[in-house]
Amino acid sequence: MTDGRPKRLALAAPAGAFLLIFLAWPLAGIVKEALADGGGAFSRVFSDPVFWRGVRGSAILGTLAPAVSTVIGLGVSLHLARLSPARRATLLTIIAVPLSFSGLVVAYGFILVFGRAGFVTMLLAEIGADPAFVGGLIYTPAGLAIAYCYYLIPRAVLVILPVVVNFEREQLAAARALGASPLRAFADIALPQLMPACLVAFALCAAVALGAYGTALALSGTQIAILPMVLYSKISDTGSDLPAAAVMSLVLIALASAVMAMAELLRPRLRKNA
Amino acid sequence: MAAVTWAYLTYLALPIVLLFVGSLGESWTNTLFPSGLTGEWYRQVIEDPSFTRAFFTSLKVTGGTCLAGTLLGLPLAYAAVSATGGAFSRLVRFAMLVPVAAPEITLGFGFIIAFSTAATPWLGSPWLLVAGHTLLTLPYLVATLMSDMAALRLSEMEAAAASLGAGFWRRLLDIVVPVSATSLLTGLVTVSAISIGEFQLSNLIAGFLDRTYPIVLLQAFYGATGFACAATVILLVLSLFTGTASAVLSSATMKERS
Amino acid sequence: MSGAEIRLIGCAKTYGDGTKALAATDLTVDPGEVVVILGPSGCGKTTLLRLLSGLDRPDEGGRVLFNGKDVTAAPIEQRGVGIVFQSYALFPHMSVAGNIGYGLRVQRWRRPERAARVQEMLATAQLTELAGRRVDQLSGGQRQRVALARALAPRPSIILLDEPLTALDAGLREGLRAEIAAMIRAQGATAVYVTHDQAEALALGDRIVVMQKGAIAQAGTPREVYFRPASPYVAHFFGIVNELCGTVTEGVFHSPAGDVPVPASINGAGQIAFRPEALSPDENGPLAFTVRESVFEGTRQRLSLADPKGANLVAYAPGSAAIAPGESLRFRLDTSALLDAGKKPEPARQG
Repeated sequence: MTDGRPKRLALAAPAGAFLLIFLAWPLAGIVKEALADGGGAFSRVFSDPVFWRGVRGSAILGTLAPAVSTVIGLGVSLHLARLSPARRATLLTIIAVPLSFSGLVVAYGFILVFGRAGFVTMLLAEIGADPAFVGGLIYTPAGLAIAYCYYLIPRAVLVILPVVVNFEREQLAAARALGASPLRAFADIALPQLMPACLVAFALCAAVALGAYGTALALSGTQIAILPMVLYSKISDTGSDLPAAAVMSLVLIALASAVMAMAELLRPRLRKNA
Repeated sequence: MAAVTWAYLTYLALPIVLLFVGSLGESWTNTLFPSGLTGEWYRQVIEDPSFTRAFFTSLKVTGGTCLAGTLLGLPLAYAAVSATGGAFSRLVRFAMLVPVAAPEITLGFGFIIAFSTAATPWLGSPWLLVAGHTLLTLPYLVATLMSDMAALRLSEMEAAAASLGAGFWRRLLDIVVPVSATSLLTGLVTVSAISIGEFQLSNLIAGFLDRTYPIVLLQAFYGATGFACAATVILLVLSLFTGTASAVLSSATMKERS
Repeated sequence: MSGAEIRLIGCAKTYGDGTKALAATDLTVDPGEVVVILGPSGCGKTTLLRLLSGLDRPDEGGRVLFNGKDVTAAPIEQRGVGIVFQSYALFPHMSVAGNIGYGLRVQRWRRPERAARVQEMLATAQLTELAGRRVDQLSGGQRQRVALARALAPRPSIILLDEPLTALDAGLREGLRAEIAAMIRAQGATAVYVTHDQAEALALGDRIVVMQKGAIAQAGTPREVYFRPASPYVAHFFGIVNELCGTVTEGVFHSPAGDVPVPASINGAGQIAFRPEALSPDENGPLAFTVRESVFEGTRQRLSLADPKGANLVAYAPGSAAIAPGESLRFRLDTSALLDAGKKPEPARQG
């Protein structure tokens, strides 16, 4: 079927052209803009305390949200793996629904649950927790992480669950027959084999958490100090410093891509185990 | 472990339930639940011209995104799967990672720079919005199509058709398109689910008259709780429909394959 | 290390969905004995093994004793049993030596003793050159040996094997069977070996426990269960059974195919039963059958026979001379090998 080769490449041409115009060119535009004033933008950004506050916030958010999501995703996966395939499929469908939720829906839902007059905030106030403190939590990077988990946990489950399902449970019995306690067997035998999947889940979640700003914007306007929020303020301010915004964009792309690349590099190891 | 799942499902359900409850309550300030029952908030949202306009803009953009995705993604996935050697397939896979890895806000900023020049003054036009959504959703569509085409052994079917005398275009119409139809539908539902709720890119590149529903929704958050809830529920219901359909369809295709 | 005595007392198992997998069962295995639990799938043999290992608990009232000590409530890790799983359940993230040494590590063996024991097990299982390999680089037979070496390394007094050869090619099985037997006996551990393969059971077991529908059908030495099956089920399970109808008068069995003198122990029986190998071609033999079909199998040929009344029998003849269907042949019967099926079995030691 060698006759099809040029025709096949022709089939790919429209998508190729599309990616050149709407992906490559805008990205090239960012690079050009960042270098527009001969590198001055870089030093401006790197000496800006607001930028560094954003980096700090993003570091907290980009570590905490994926960490919590991965741990809960692992717990949920371990439970789902024990269910019958039919029940597992049903629960998985329910869990996968929030994947495509708009960050705004999640944000307003969280205001209702954890906001200053939120449902849980008021419930906790009944047992003596200060509503001002609890209600203020979701407006911090750490609190924001809990909101991000809403659409990150499904991602973690989708990555981890297949590996847990394919894990041979008899290995745990074998370890226990050799004298290991249930906890020890899990730590020695299951965890090392589930680790690559957890790392991939962590990296995927981190990449999403680093770049997202919709939920944060809806929760607290531009108050919260995370990198994409700092960038958003820079872009939407009138008469703003576009080269500086471009530099921040590059930093953000570099961070997210690095984390994503880690996930992609680890992925082949999942398939071998699965 | 069951406890983790149930706690998690509660965490999933609580915001959704409260949004529904809040959208039907008359007033809700500093109490556990709102007081009174009313459909007034929904009436207000529906009668608000900026919301109805945005609602239909969103539907049009999502429709346009599905169409553009099909025209670009289907041929691309087919070309990638049937290419020999694997180099082209890897190139496509890599290209499809970039829009996922680059945060939406940076893509949006790239659009602002690239499409506000004198030669390309397209920023704010509705079809640029469609292009943006297509860029964000194409990776998911192409990934679905590619894995289904590979799993269905499309190339073997094609070889069989070719051995019976079918030419390239004939095979494309008789084999490739019909066999990929289910997969395409699954992919497009996912595309719709993402497109309908998309905010982060749209917010930067939409023109004032072509704002999508999520952009207008953000304004509602600063108003009355009931109004905000009702406006959010409308988007939530759309997302629930497309999201559930997407989850069900992808698990169905997974089952077929195994 | 010597083997422990195993006693199961009144152990039944009903699963959560109401399936009765095992009726109340008593079984004693002597120290150092190799007992094979044999039966088709679903007969309860795997359930029995799971009760012994601690993977499952018996229903209320059942007790499991190791050397007289009640371990019914003890979790698997405190029972000190070695287990070889059908799938081997090797740890893919550890090397061959890592797998074999894992039990020693968990049981806190001191480092030099641990290393020495791993070396010893590697040598016994002929895996020394493969010590550093990942287990996914091993062949099926090598994996099997790793699984056995891993289970035996901590010197358990009991070893349980769940269909350890089933996953292997037929050609590999026979050789490994002998190796397994040698390794188990060298350890002196009490072994319970579950299989559905009769040849494996006959070759390996000191004693065979045949199971049927969740209960013990017969327990006895290989020769007992083969030649003195307690029931037609057991008789048929170990191979082909020929049955010949007739009557016995004064020590002679009269049948349409001919008359045969039989031992005094058989009297008044309406039929006698025997295995194909009890019948051999003999020009002067007392029995005559018509050959229906012959299948050449190399060293021998398998004959399908019919007696004058049309009943079917099977016999073997040397492979050298071709025998055509339709021929009439005479046979002699080794009456010392008559089966006792249908008669009361010897009281088997069941508890």
